[in-house]
Amino acid sequence: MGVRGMKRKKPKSFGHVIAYIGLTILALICLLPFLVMMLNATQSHADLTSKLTLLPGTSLLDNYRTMTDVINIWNNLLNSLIIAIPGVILTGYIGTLAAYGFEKFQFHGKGLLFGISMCMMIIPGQISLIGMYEIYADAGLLNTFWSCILPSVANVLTVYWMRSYIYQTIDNAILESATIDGCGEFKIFNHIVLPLCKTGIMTISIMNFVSLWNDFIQPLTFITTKEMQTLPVAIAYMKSQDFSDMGAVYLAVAISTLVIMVIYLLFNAQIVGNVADGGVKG
Amino acid sequence: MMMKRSGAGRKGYYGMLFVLPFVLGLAYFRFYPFMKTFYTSLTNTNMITFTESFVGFQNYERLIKDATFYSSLWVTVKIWLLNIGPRLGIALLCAVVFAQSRLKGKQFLKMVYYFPNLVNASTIAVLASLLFGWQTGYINKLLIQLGVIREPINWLGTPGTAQGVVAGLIWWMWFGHSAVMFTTGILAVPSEIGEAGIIDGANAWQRFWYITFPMIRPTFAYVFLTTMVGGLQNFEIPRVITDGIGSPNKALLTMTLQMYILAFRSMQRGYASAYAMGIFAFTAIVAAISYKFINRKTY
Repeated sequence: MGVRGMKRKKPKSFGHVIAYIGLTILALICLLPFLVMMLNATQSHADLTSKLTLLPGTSLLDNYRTMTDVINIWNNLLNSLIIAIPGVILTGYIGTLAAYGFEKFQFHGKGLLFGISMCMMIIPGQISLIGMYEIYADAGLLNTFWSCILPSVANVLTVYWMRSYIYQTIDNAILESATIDGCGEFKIFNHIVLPLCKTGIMTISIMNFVSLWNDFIQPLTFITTKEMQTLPVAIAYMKSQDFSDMGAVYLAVAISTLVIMVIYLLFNAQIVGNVADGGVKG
Repeated sequence: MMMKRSGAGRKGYYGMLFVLPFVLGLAYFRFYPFMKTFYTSLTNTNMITFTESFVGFQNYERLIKDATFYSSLWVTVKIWLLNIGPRLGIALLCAVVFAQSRLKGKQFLKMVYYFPNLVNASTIAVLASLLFGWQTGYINKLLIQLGVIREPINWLGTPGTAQGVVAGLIWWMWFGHSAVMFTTGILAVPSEIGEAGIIDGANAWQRFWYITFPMIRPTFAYVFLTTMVGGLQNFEIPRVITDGIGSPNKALLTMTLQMYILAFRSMQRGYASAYAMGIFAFTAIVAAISYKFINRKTY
Protein backbone atom coordinates (compact mmCIF):
# COMPACT_ATOMS: atom_id res chain seq x y z
CA MET A 1 0.00 0.00 0.00
CA GLY A 2 2.81 2.39 0.62
CA VAL A 3 1.02 4.48 3.19
CA ARG A 4 3.25 4.68 6.21
CA GLY A 5 1.15 5.65 9.15
CA MET A 6 3.70 5.41 11.88
CA LYS A 7 6.87 6.88 10.44
CA ARG A 8 6.26 10.59 10.66
CA LYS A 9 9.63 11.65 9.38
CA LYS A 10 9.18 10.75 5.71
CA PRO A 11 7.43 13.63 3.89
CA LYS A 12 5.71 12.36 0.77
CA SER A 13 6.57 8.86 -0.28
CA PHE A 14 5.95 7.41 -3.70
CA GLY A 15 2.96 5.59 -2.34
CA HIS A 16 1.45 8.87 -1.23
CA VAL A 17 1.73 10.34 -4.68
CA ILE A 18 0.09 7.33 -6.26
CA ALA A 19 -2.68 7.50 -3.70
CA TYR A 20 -3.30 11.17 -4.35
CA ILE A 21 -3.38 10.69 -8.10
CA GLY A 22 -5.78 7.77 -7.77
CA LEU A 23 -8.08 9.64 -5.43
CA THR A 24 -8.13 12.66 -7.67
CA ILE A 25 -8.99 10.57 -10.69
CA LEU A 26 -11.86 9.03 -8.75
CA ALA A 27 -13.09 12.46 -7.73
CA LEU A 28 -13.01 13.62 -11.33
CA ILE A 29 -14.92 10.54 -12.41
CA CYS A 30 -17.57 11.43 -9.88
CA LEU A 31 -17.85 15.10 -10.75
CA LEU A 32 -17.19 15.42 -14.47
CA PRO A 33 -20.43 13.84 -15.68
CA PHE A 34 -22.35 16.51 -13.79
CA LEU A 35 -20.23 19.27 -15.19
CA VAL A 36 -20.80 17.97 -18.71
CA MET A 37 -24.48 17.70 -17.92
CA MET A 38 -24.74 21.35 -16.92
CA LEU A 39 -22.60 22.41 -19.83
CA ASN A 40 -24.71 20.58 -22.35
CA ALA A 41 -27.95 21.83 -20.89
CA THR A 42 -27.07 25.15 -22.45
CA GLN A 43 -26.29 23.74 -25.87
CA SER A 44 -28.57 23.40 -28.83
CA HIS A 45 -29.27 20.00 -30.27
CA ALA A 46 -27.52 20.94 -33.48
CA ASP A 47 -24.34 21.83 -31.65
CA LEU A 48 -24.47 18.72 -29.52
CA THR A 49 -24.70 16.44 -32.50
CA SER A 50 -22.09 18.11 -34.60
CA LYS A 51 -19.25 18.94 -32.28
CA LEU A 52 -17.62 18.37 -28.93
CA THR A 53 -18.95 21.08 -26.65
CA LEU A 54 -16.47 22.41 -24.16
CA LEU A 55 -17.88 25.81 -23.29
CA PRO A 56 -21.35 26.89 -22.28
CA GLY A 57 -23.73 27.55 -25.13
CA THR A 58 -26.59 29.94 -25.61
CA SER A 59 -29.57 27.67 -25.97
CA LEU A 60 -30.68 27.49 -22.39
CA LEU A 61 -33.99 29.23 -23.00
CA ASP A 62 -34.72 27.26 -26.16
CA ASN A 63 -34.04 24.03 -24.35
CA TYR A 64 -36.27 25.15 -21.57
CA ARG A 65 -39.13 25.80 -23.94
CA THR A 66 -38.69 22.47 -25.68
CA MET A 67 -38.52 20.66 -22.38
CA THR A 68 -41.69 22.19 -21.03
CA ASP A 69 -43.49 21.15 -24.19
CA VAL A 70 -42.96 17.55 -23.28
CA ILE A 71 -43.11 17.59 -19.51
CA ASN A 72 -44.16 20.20 -17.02
CA ILE A 73 -41.13 19.76 -14.84
CA TRP A 74 -42.18 22.06 -12.04
CA ASN A 75 -45.41 20.14 -11.75
CA ASN A 76 -43.49 16.91 -11.47
CA LEU A 77 -41.24 18.46 -8.89
CA LEU A 78 -44.28 19.44 -6.91
CA ASN A 79 -45.66 15.92 -7.18
CA SER A 80 -42.44 14.51 -5.86
CA LEU A 81 -42.72 16.89 -2.92
CA ILE A 82 -46.35 15.96 -2.35
CA ILE A 83 -45.25 12.38 -1.91
CA ALA A 84 -41.94 12.87 -0.17
CA ILE A 85 -42.88 15.32 2.57
CA PRO A 86 -45.96 13.58 3.99
CA GLY A 87 -44.15 10.28 3.56
CA VAL A 88 -41.22 11.44 5.62
CA ILE A 89 -43.46 12.89 8.32
CA LEU A 90 -45.42 9.66 8.44
CA THR A 91 -42.33 7.53 8.74
CA GLY A 92 -40.83 9.82 11.33
CA TYR A 93 -43.84 9.91 13.58
CA ILE A 94 -45.11 6.34 13.29
CA GLY A 95 -41.60 4.98 13.26
CA THR A 96 -40.56 6.81 16.40
CA LEU A 97 -43.82 5.87 18.05
CA ALA A 98 -43.21 2.20 17.33
CA ALA A 99 -39.57 2.42 18.34
CA TYR A 100 -40.61 4.00 21.63
CA GLY A 101 -43.19 1.28 22.16
CA PHE A 102 -40.66 -1.45 21.47
CA GLU A 103 -37.94 0.06 23.57
CA LYS A 104 -39.57 1.41 26.67
CA PHE A 105 -42.49 -0.90 27.20
CA GLN A 106 -42.91 -4.51 28.10
CA PHE A 107 -45.72 -6.59 26.73
CA HIS A 108 -46.38 -10.12 25.71
CA GLY A 109 -44.97 -11.12 22.37
CA LYS A 110 -42.89 -7.97 22.04
CA GLY A 111 -39.74 -9.83 21.12
CA LEU A 112 -41.52 -12.00 18.60
CA LEU A 113 -43.22 -9.03 17.01
CA PHE A 114 -39.98 -7.13 16.71
CA GLY A 115 -38.25 -10.16 15.27
CA ILE A 116 -40.95 -10.66 12.66
CA SER A 117 -40.74 -7.00 11.75
CA MET A 118 -37.03 -7.31 11.14
CA CYS A 119 -37.65 -10.34 8.94
CA MET A 120 -39.94 -8.26 6.77
CA MET A 121 -36.85 -6.41 5.63
CA ILE A 122 -35.90 -9.51 3.70
CA ILE A 123 -38.87 -9.28 1.38
CA PRO A 124 -37.63 -7.14 -1.47
CA GLY A 125 -39.97 -4.44 -2.67
CA GLN A 126 -40.20 -5.71 -6.22
CA ILE A 127 -41.70 -8.98 -5.08
CA SER A 128 -44.58 -7.28 -3.40
CA LEU A 129 -45.08 -4.93 -6.31
CA ILE A 130 -47.66 -7.00 -8.14
CA GLY A 131 -49.50 -7.79 -4.95
CA MET A 132 -49.54 -4.15 -3.92
CA TYR A 133 -50.87 -3.20 -7.33
CA GLU A 134 -53.77 -5.58 -6.96
CA ILE A 135 -54.50 -4.47 -3.41
CA TYR A 136 -54.50 -0.86 -4.50
CA ALA A 137 -56.71 -1.66 -7.48
CA ASP A 138 -59.27 -3.29 -5.23
CA ALA A 139 -59.11 -0.45 -2.72
CA GLY A 140 -59.43 2.21 -5.38
CA LEU A 141 -56.08 3.69 -4.47
CA LEU A 142 -54.48 3.33 -7.85
CA ASN A 143 -53.39 6.55 -9.47
CA THR A 144 -53.50 8.49 -6.24
CA PHE A 145 -50.68 10.05 -4.29
CA TRP A 146 -51.68 7.93 -1.30
CA SER A 147 -50.41 4.85 -3.07
CA CYS A 148 -46.87 6.17 -2.74
CA ILE A 149 -47.24 7.91 0.60
CA LEU A 150 -48.94 5.27 2.74
CA PRO A 151 -46.26 2.55 2.49
CA SER A 152 -44.05 4.93 4.47
CA VAL A 153 -45.86 3.67 7.54
CA ALA A 154 -43.95 0.40 7.28
CA ASN A 155 -40.35 1.59 7.33
CA VAL A 156 -38.52 -1.09 9.26
CA LEU A 157 -35.11 0.52 9.09
CA THR A 158 -36.39 3.69 10.74
CA VAL A 159 -37.92 1.78 13.60
CA TYR A 160 -34.75 -0.21 14.08
CA TRP A 161 -32.55 2.87 14.00
CA MET A 162 -34.80 4.98 16.22
CA ARG A 163 -35.05 2.20 18.73
CA SER A 164 -31.35 2.22 19.44
CA TYR A 165 -31.40 6.00 19.34
CA ILE A 166 -34.09 6.10 22.00
CA TYR A 167 -32.17 3.59 24.05
CA GLN A 168 -29.15 5.86 24.04
CA THR A 169 -30.95 9.11 24.48
CA ILE A 170 -33.89 8.74 26.80
CA ASP A 171 -33.45 7.98 30.43
CA ASN A 172 -36.27 6.20 32.19
CA ALA A 173 -36.05 8.72 35.01
CA ILE A 174 -37.61 11.43 32.88
CA LEU A 175 -40.48 9.16 31.92
CA GLU A 176 -41.04 8.09 35.51
CA SER A 177 -41.23 11.63 36.83
CA ALA A 178 -43.61 12.64 34.08
CA THR A 179 -45.90 9.77 34.96
CA ILE A 180 -45.79 10.72 38.61
CA ASP A 181 -46.80 14.22 37.60
CA GLY A 182 -49.91 12.70 36.10
CA CYS A 183 -49.05 12.83 32.40
CA GLY A 184 -50.82 10.44 30.09
CA GLU A 185 -48.73 8.19 27.87
CA PHE A 186 -49.50 10.02 24.64
CA LYS A 187 -48.71 13.33 26.27
CA ILE A 188 -45.39 11.95 27.43
CA PHE A 189 -44.59 10.83 23.92
CA ASN A 190 -45.59 14.02 22.18
CA HIS A 191 -44.20 16.50 24.67
CA ILE A 192 -41.14 14.75 26.07
CA VAL A 193 -39.93 11.91 23.88
CA LEU A 194 -40.35 13.55 20.50
CA PRO A 195 -38.49 16.76 21.36
CA LEU A 196 -35.66 14.76 22.88
CA CYS A 197 -35.35 12.71 19.70
CA LYS A 198 -35.40 15.69 17.42
CA THR A 199 -31.83 15.33 16.14
CA GLY A 200 -32.18 11.64 15.45
CA ILE A 201 -35.49 12.09 13.68
CA MET A 202 -34.00 14.85 11.55
CA THR A 203 -31.11 12.64 10.52
CA ILE A 204 -33.18 9.62 9.59
CA SER A 205 -35.78 11.83 7.93
CA ILE A 206 -33.24 13.27 5.54
CA MET A 207 -32.25 9.78 4.47
CA ASN A 208 -35.90 8.82 4.08
CA PHE A 209 -36.58 11.95 2.07
CA VAL A 210 -33.83 11.16 -0.38
CA SER A 211 -35.13 7.59 -0.71
CA LEU A 212 -38.67 8.69 -1.34
CA TRP A 213 -37.63 11.46 -3.68
CA ASN A 214 -35.62 9.04 -5.77
CA ASP A 215 -38.20 6.29 -5.77
CA PHE A 216 -38.90 5.21 -9.31
CA ILE A 217 -40.65 1.88 -9.52
CA GLN A 218 -43.54 2.72 -7.20
CA PRO A 219 -44.73 5.92 -8.88
CA LEU A 220 -44.10 4.26 -12.22
CA THR A 221 -46.37 1.37 -11.36
CA PHE A 222 -49.09 3.00 -9.31
CA ILE A 223 -49.51 6.40 -10.94
CA THR A 224 -50.68 6.50 -14.50
CA THR A 225 -51.72 10.10 -15.05
CA LYS A 226 -48.98 12.15 -16.59
CA GLU A 227 -49.84 15.25 -14.60
CA MET A 228 -49.42 13.37 -11.35
CA GLN A 229 -46.10 11.80 -12.16
CA THR A 230 -43.05 12.35 -10.02
CA LEU A 231 -39.80 13.85 -11.21
CA PRO A 232 -37.71 10.71 -11.82
CA VAL A 233 -40.47 9.07 -13.84
CA ALA A 234 -41.11 12.24 -15.81
CA ILE A 235 -37.47 12.49 -16.81
CA ALA A 236 -37.41 8.89 -17.97
CA TYR A 237 -40.62 9.58 -19.86
CA MET A 238 -39.08 12.55 -21.57
CA LYS A 239 -36.18 10.44 -22.65
CA SER A 240 -38.41 7.82 -24.17
CA GLN A 241 -40.67 10.33 -25.91
CA ASP A 242 -38.52 13.07 -27.21
CA PHE A 243 -34.92 12.26 -27.40
CA SER A 244 -34.60 14.29 -30.53
CA ASP A 245 -33.66 17.42 -28.65
CA MET A 246 -30.76 16.39 -26.48
CA GLY A 247 -30.24 19.84 -25.05
CA ALA A 248 -33.70 19.79 -23.55
CA VAL A 249 -33.15 16.37 -22.02
CA TYR A 250 -29.83 17.49 -20.53
CA LEU A 251 -31.66 20.42 -19.02
CA ALA A 252 -34.31 18.22 -17.45
CA VAL A 253 -31.63 16.01 -15.95
CA ALA A 254 -29.75 19.07 -14.73
CA ILE A 255 -32.76 20.53 -12.95
CA SER A 256 -33.47 17.23 -11.26
CA THR A 257 -29.88 16.85 -10.17
CA LEU A 258 -29.63 20.42 -8.90
CA VAL A 259 -32.43 19.78 -6.44
CA ILE A 260 -30.51 16.88 -4.93
CA MET A 261 -27.32 18.90 -4.98
CA VAL A 262 -28.91 21.64 -2.93
CA ILE A 263 -30.25 19.16 -0.40
CA TYR A 264 -26.84 17.52 -0.23
CA LEU A 265 -24.96 20.74 0.32
CA LEU A 266 -27.31 21.70 3.10
CA PHE A 267 -27.45 18.37 4.83
CA ASN A 268 -24.34 16.49 3.84
CA ALA A 269 -23.14 16.18 7.39
CA GLN A 270 -26.19 14.18 8.31
CA ILE A 271 -26.23 12.10 5.16
CA VAL A 272 -22.62 10.99 5.05
CA GLY A 273 -22.32 10.94 8.80
CA ASN A 274 -25.31 8.70 9.20
CA VAL A 275 -23.97 6.16 6.77
CA ALA A 276 -20.50 6.36 8.21
CA ASP A 277 -21.54 5.65 11.74
CA GLY A 278 -23.50 2.62 10.69
CA GLY A 279 -26.60 4.45 11.76
CA VAL A 280 -26.21 4.20 15.48
CA LYS A 281 -25.12 7.74 16.11
CA GLY A 282 -27.02 9.78 18.67
CA MET B 1 -29.55 -2.00 36.23
CA MET B 2 -33.21 -2.11 37.16
CA MET B 3 -33.76 1.52 36.18
CA LYS B 4 -33.05 0.91 32.50
CA ARG B 5 -36.08 -1.24 31.86
CA SER B 6 -39.58 -0.07 32.62
CA GLY B 7 -41.61 -2.01 35.12
CA ALA B 8 -43.34 -4.88 33.37
CA GLY B 9 -47.08 -4.74 33.02
CA ARG B 10 -47.60 -1.21 34.20
CA LYS B 11 -47.03 0.43 30.83
CA GLY B 12 -47.59 -2.70 28.79
CA TYR B 13 -50.92 -1.83 27.27
CA TYR B 14 -49.73 1.46 25.81
CA GLY B 15 -46.71 -0.20 24.34
CA MET B 16 -48.91 -2.35 22.18
CA LEU B 17 -50.90 0.68 21.15
CA PHE B 18 -47.81 2.56 20.07
CA VAL B 19 -46.40 -0.18 17.90
CA LEU B 20 -49.78 -0.93 16.40
CA PRO B 21 -49.78 1.53 13.46
CA PHE B 22 -46.37 0.32 12.39
CA VAL B 23 -47.26 -3.35 12.70
CA LEU B 24 -50.54 -2.87 10.88
CA GLY B 25 -48.67 -0.99 8.17
CA LEU B 26 -46.22 -3.84 7.85
CA ALA B 27 -49.02 -6.33 7.61
CA TYR B 28 -50.90 -4.38 4.98
CA PHE B 29 -48.03 -3.05 2.89
CA ARG B 30 -45.46 -5.82 3.14
CA PHE B 31 -46.91 -9.09 4.28
CA TYR B 32 -50.31 -8.95 2.60
CA PRO B 33 -48.87 -7.96 -0.82
CA PHE B 34 -46.36 -10.75 -0.55
CA MET B 35 -49.10 -13.25 0.13
CA LYS B 36 -51.22 -11.75 -2.62
CA THR B 37 -48.38 -12.09 -5.10
CA PHE B 38 -47.96 -15.68 -4.07
CA TYR B 39 -51.65 -16.36 -4.47
CA THR B 40 -51.75 -14.70 -7.87
CA SER B 41 -48.87 -16.87 -8.97
CA LEU B 42 -51.16 -19.81 -8.54
CA THR B 43 -53.74 -18.36 -10.91
CA ASN B 44 -53.71 -17.60 -14.58
CA THR B 45 -54.69 -13.98 -14.11
CA ASN B 46 -54.36 -12.20 -17.37
CA MET B 47 -55.75 -8.73 -17.88
CA ILE B 48 -55.99 -9.05 -21.63
CA THR B 49 -57.90 -12.30 -21.84
CA PHE B 50 -59.74 -11.53 -18.60
CA THR B 51 -59.04 -14.90 -17.09
CA GLU B 52 -58.62 -15.31 -13.38
CA SER B 53 -58.86 -18.87 -12.19
CA PHE B 54 -56.84 -21.07 -9.93
CA VAL B 55 -54.39 -23.26 -11.81
CA GLY B 56 -52.10 -24.55 -9.15
CA PHE B 57 -48.43 -24.76 -10.00
CA GLN B 58 -48.88 -24.46 -13.72
CA ASN B 59 -47.08 -21.12 -13.80
CA TYR B 60 -44.12 -22.58 -12.00
CA GLU B 61 -43.88 -25.41 -14.47
CA ARG B 62 -43.80 -22.85 -17.20
CA LEU B 63 -41.22 -20.83 -15.30
CA ILE B 64 -38.79 -23.69 -14.96
CA LYS B 65 -38.91 -24.30 -18.69
CA ASP B 66 -38.73 -20.62 -19.60
CA ALA B 67 -35.49 -19.81 -21.38
CA THR B 68 -36.03 -16.11 -20.78
CA PHE B 69 -36.10 -16.70 -17.04
CA TYR B 70 -32.65 -18.20 -17.16
CA SER B 71 -31.30 -15.62 -19.56
CA SER B 72 -32.65 -12.79 -17.42
CA LEU B 73 -31.16 -14.46 -14.38
CA TRP B 74 -27.80 -14.67 -16.07
CA VAL B 75 -28.01 -11.04 -17.23
CA THR B 76 -28.75 -9.90 -13.70
CA VAL B 77 -25.95 -11.97 -12.21
CA LYS B 78 -23.49 -10.99 -14.91
CA ILE B 79 -24.05 -7.29 -14.42
CA TRP B 80 -23.72 -7.78 -10.70
CA LEU B 81 -20.46 -9.70 -11.09
CA LEU B 82 -19.09 -7.02 -13.37
CA ASN B 83 -19.62 -4.33 -10.79
CA ILE B 84 -18.97 -6.09 -7.50
CA GLY B 85 -15.24 -6.58 -8.00
CA PRO B 86 -14.34 -3.00 -8.83
CA ARG B 87 -16.80 -1.70 -6.30
CA LEU B 88 -15.52 -3.62 -3.30
CA GLY B 89 -11.94 -3.40 -4.42
CA ILE B 90 -11.87 0.33 -4.92
CA ALA B 91 -14.02 0.95 -1.87
CA LEU B 92 -11.61 -1.02 0.26
CA LEU B 93 -8.63 0.82 -1.14
CA CYS B 94 -10.30 4.15 -0.50
CA ALA B 95 -11.26 3.12 2.99
CA VAL B 96 -7.73 2.06 3.84
CA VAL B 97 -6.44 5.37 2.63
CA PHE B 98 -9.16 7.30 4.42
CA ALA B 99 -8.45 5.53 7.65
CA GLN B 100 -4.97 7.00 7.67
CA SER B 101 -5.66 10.27 9.37
CA ARG B 102 -2.92 12.18 7.65
CA LEU B 103 -4.74 12.65 4.37
CA LYS B 104 -5.89 16.19 3.77
CA GLY B 105 -9.26 16.87 2.25
CA LYS B 106 -10.60 13.52 3.39
CA GLN B 107 -14.03 14.87 4.27
CA PHE B 108 -14.32 16.61 0.95
CA LEU B 109 -13.39 13.46 -0.94
CA LYS B 110 -15.92 11.44 0.98
CA MET B 111 -18.57 13.97 0.07
CA VAL B 112 -17.64 13.85 -3.58
CA TYR B 113 -17.52 10.07 -3.82
CA TYR B 114 -20.85 9.76 -2.08
CA PHE B 115 -22.70 12.21 -4.30
CA PRO B 116 -23.50 9.88 -7.22
CA ASN B 117 -25.38 7.72 -4.77
CA LEU B 118 -27.88 10.47 -4.09
CA VAL B 119 -29.01 11.12 -7.62
CA ASN B 120 -31.70 8.68 -8.54
CA ALA B 121 -30.77 5.78 -10.75
CA SER B 122 -33.32 6.58 -13.42
CA THR B 123 -32.00 10.11 -13.95
CA ILE B 124 -28.46 8.77 -14.09
CA ALA B 125 -29.65 6.31 -16.70
CA VAL B 126 -31.04 9.17 -18.78
CA LEU B 127 -27.77 11.04 -18.44
CA ALA B 128 -25.87 7.94 -19.46
CA SER B 129 -28.10 7.49 -22.50
CA LEU B 130 -27.13 10.99 -23.54
CA LEU B 131 -23.42 10.63 -22.84
CA PHE B 132 -23.00 7.16 -24.30
CA GLY B 133 -25.05 7.78 -27.41
CA TRP B 134 -23.62 6.20 -30.51
CA GLN B 135 -23.37 8.98 -33.05
CA THR B 136 -24.10 11.92 -30.85
CA GLY B 137 -22.83 10.91 -27.44
CA TYR B 138 -20.39 13.13 -25.62
CA ILE B 139 -18.08 10.32 -24.66
CA ASN B 140 -17.60 9.08 -28.19
CA LYS B 141 -16.92 12.62 -29.35
CA LEU B 142 -14.38 13.10 -26.59
CA LEU B 143 -12.61 9.84 -27.27
CA ILE B 144 -12.40 10.56 -30.99
CA GLN B 145 -11.12 14.04 -30.32
CA LEU B 146 -8.45 12.67 -28.03
CA GLY B 147 -7.51 10.14 -30.64
CA VAL B 148 -8.27 7.15 -28.47
CA ILE B 149 -10.71 5.66 -30.96
CA ARG B 150 -11.47 6.39 -34.59
CA GLU B 151 -15.03 5.15 -34.92
CA PRO B 152 -17.80 5.88 -32.46
CA ILE B 153 -18.49 2.89 -30.26
CA ASN B 154 -22.05 1.68 -30.03
CA TRP B 155 -21.97 1.48 -26.26
CA LEU B 156 -25.62 0.90 -25.63
CA GLY B 157 -26.41 -1.05 -28.76
CA THR B 158 -23.88 -3.80 -28.36
CA PRO B 159 -24.82 -6.43 -25.78
CA GLY B 160 -21.39 -6.71 -24.19
CA THR B 161 -20.65 -3.03 -23.82
CA ALA B 162 -24.23 -2.26 -22.79
CA GLN B 163 -23.89 -4.58 -19.83
CA GLY B 164 -20.52 -3.09 -19.08
CA VAL B 165 -21.96 0.41 -19.10
CA VAL B 166 -24.77 -0.60 -16.75
CA ALA B 167 -22.32 -2.30 -14.42
CA GLY B 168 -20.11 0.77 -14.58
CA LEU B 169 -23.01 3.06 -13.72
CA ILE B 170 -23.91 0.97 -10.73
CA TRP B 171 -20.30 0.95 -9.65
CA TRP B 172 -20.16 4.72 -10.04
CA MET B 173 -23.27 5.16 -7.91
CA TRP B 174 -22.21 2.89 -5.10
CA PHE B 175 -18.47 2.72 -4.59
CA GLY B 176 -18.48 5.89 -2.51
CA HIS B 177 -21.20 4.51 -0.31
CA SER B 178 -19.26 1.28 0.22
CA ALA B 179 -16.05 3.24 0.84
CA VAL B 180 -17.68 5.24 3.60
CA MET B 181 -19.02 2.09 5.23
CA PHE B 182 -15.67 0.36 5.04
CA THR B 183 -13.92 3.40 6.49
CA THR B 184 -16.14 3.25 9.51
CA GLY B 185 -15.44 -0.43 9.87
CA ILE B 186 -11.70 0.07 9.71
CA LEU B 187 -11.74 2.97 12.10
CA ALA B 188 -13.60 0.81 14.57
CA VAL B 189 -10.67 -1.56 14.74
CA PRO B 190 -8.69 -0.71 17.87
CA SER B 191 -5.40 0.82 16.91
CA GLU B 192 -3.48 -1.21 19.46
CA ILE B 193 -3.91 -4.24 17.28
CA GLY B 194 -2.40 -2.49 14.29
CA GLU B 195 0.41 -1.17 16.43
CA ALA B 196 1.10 -4.60 17.81
CA GLY B 197 1.45 -5.75 14.23
CA ILE B 198 4.02 -3.07 13.51
CA ILE B 199 6.01 -4.00 16.57
CA ASP B 200 5.98 -7.57 15.40
CA GLY B 201 7.55 -6.38 12.16
CA ALA B 202 4.64 -6.81 9.79
CA ASN B 203 4.61 -4.47 6.82
CA ALA B 204 1.57 -2.48 5.70
CA TRP B 205 0.23 -5.14 3.36
CA GLN B 206 0.52 -7.89 5.92
CA ARG B 207 -1.06 -5.70 8.53
CA PHE B 208 -4.01 -5.10 6.29
CA TRP B 209 -4.58 -8.64 5.18
CA TYR B 210 -4.06 -10.49 8.41
CA ILE B 211 -5.27 -7.97 10.93
CA THR B 212 -7.53 -5.29 9.56
CA PHE B 213 -9.44 -7.30 7.00
CA PRO B 214 -10.56 -10.08 9.32
CA MET B 215 -11.69 -7.53 11.90
CA ILE B 216 -13.91 -5.74 9.42
CA ARG B 217 -15.45 -8.95 8.26
CA PRO B 218 -18.91 -8.08 9.65
CA THR B 219 -18.91 -4.76 7.83
CA PHE B 220 -17.68 -6.47 4.70
CA ALA B 221 -20.36 -9.13 5.02
CA TYR B 222 -23.07 -6.52 5.41
CA VAL B 223 -21.91 -4.53 2.39
CA PHE B 224 -21.51 -7.67 0.32
CA LEU B 225 -24.95 -9.02 1.17
CA THR B 226 -26.79 -5.76 0.64
CA THR B 227 -24.90 -5.30 -2.63
CA MET B 228 -25.98 -8.70 -3.74
CA VAL B 229 -29.62 -8.43 -2.79
CA GLY B 230 -29.74 -5.00 -4.38
CA GLY B 231 -27.95 -6.23 -7.46
CA LEU B 232 -30.40 -9.04 -8.01
CA GLN B 233 -33.23 -6.52 -8.06
CA ASN B 234 -31.58 -4.43 -10.75
CA PHE B 235 -34.43 -2.68 -12.52
CA GLU B 236 -34.22 1.07 -12.96
CA ILE B 237 -31.12 1.59 -15.03
CA PRO B 238 -31.80 -1.18 -17.57
CA ARG B 239 -35.39 -0.14 -17.86
CA VAL B 240 -34.73 3.52 -18.47
CA ILE B 241 -31.82 2.97 -20.81
CA THR B 242 -33.81 0.57 -22.94
CA ASP B 243 -37.18 2.27 -22.47
CA GLY B 244 -38.48 -0.89 -20.93
CA ILE B 245 -37.50 -3.44 -23.52
CA GLY B 246 -34.22 -4.84 -22.34
CA SER B 247 -32.56 -4.66 -25.71
CA PRO B 248 -30.29 -5.17 -27.42
CA ASN B 249 -31.08 -8.79 -27.82
CA LYS B 250 -32.25 -9.13 -24.23
CA ALA B 251 -28.80 -8.18 -23.05
CA LEU B 252 -30.18 -5.79 -20.49
CA LEU B 253 -33.27 -7.79 -19.63
CA THR B 254 -32.80 -8.27 -15.92
CA MET B 255 -35.08 -10.48 -13.86
CA THR B 256 -37.10 -7.68 -12.36
CA LEU B 257 -37.44 -5.95 -15.71
CA GLN B 258 -38.86 -9.07 -17.29
CA MET B 259 -41.22 -9.48 -14.35
CA TYR B 260 -42.38 -5.92 -14.85
CA ILE B 261 -42.91 -6.39 -18.56
CA LEU B 262 -44.92 -9.55 -17.96
CA ALA B 263 -47.07 -7.93 -15.31
CA PHE B 264 -47.72 -4.53 -16.79
CA ARG B 265 -47.13 -4.76 -20.50
CA SER B 266 -48.28 -8.16 -21.56
CA MET B 267 -50.60 -8.17 -18.57
CA GLN B 268 -49.89 -11.74 -17.58
CA ARG B 269 -50.12 -11.11 -13.88
CA GLY B 270 -50.41 -14.72 -12.88
CA TYR B 271 -47.22 -15.75 -14.58
CA ALA B 272 -45.45 -12.53 -13.57
CA SER B 273 -46.23 -13.34 -9.95
CA ALA B 274 -44.64 -16.74 -10.33
CA TYR B 275 -41.67 -14.96 -11.87
CA ALA B 276 -41.49 -12.69 -8.83
CA MET B 277 -41.52 -15.71 -6.57
CA GLY B 278 -38.75 -17.19 -8.62
CA ILE B 279 -36.67 -14.07 -8.13
CA PHE B 280 -37.38 -14.17 -4.42
CA ALA B 281 -36.41 -17.81 -4.11
CA PHE B 282 -33.17 -17.26 -6.01
CA THR B 283 -32.32 -14.21 -3.90
CA ALA B 284 -33.01 -16.04 -0.66
CA ILE B 285 -30.88 -19.01 -1.62
CA VAL B 286 -27.94 -16.93 -2.75
CA ALA B 287 -28.19 -14.70 0.31
CA ALA B 288 -28.22 -17.69 2.62
CA ILE B 289 -25.22 -19.26 0.94
CA SER B 290 -23.23 -16.05 0.95
CA TYR B 291 -24.07 -15.38 4.54
CA LYS B 292 -22.78 -18.78 5.59
CA PHE B 293 -19.73 -18.44 3.42
CA ILE B 294 -18.76 -15.04 4.72
CA ASN B 295 -19.44 -15.75 8.31
CA ARG B 296 -17.37 -18.90 8.33
CA LYS B 297 -14.95 -17.67 10.92
CA THR B 298 -16.17 -15.63 13.82
CA TYR B 299 -14.05 -14.06 16.45
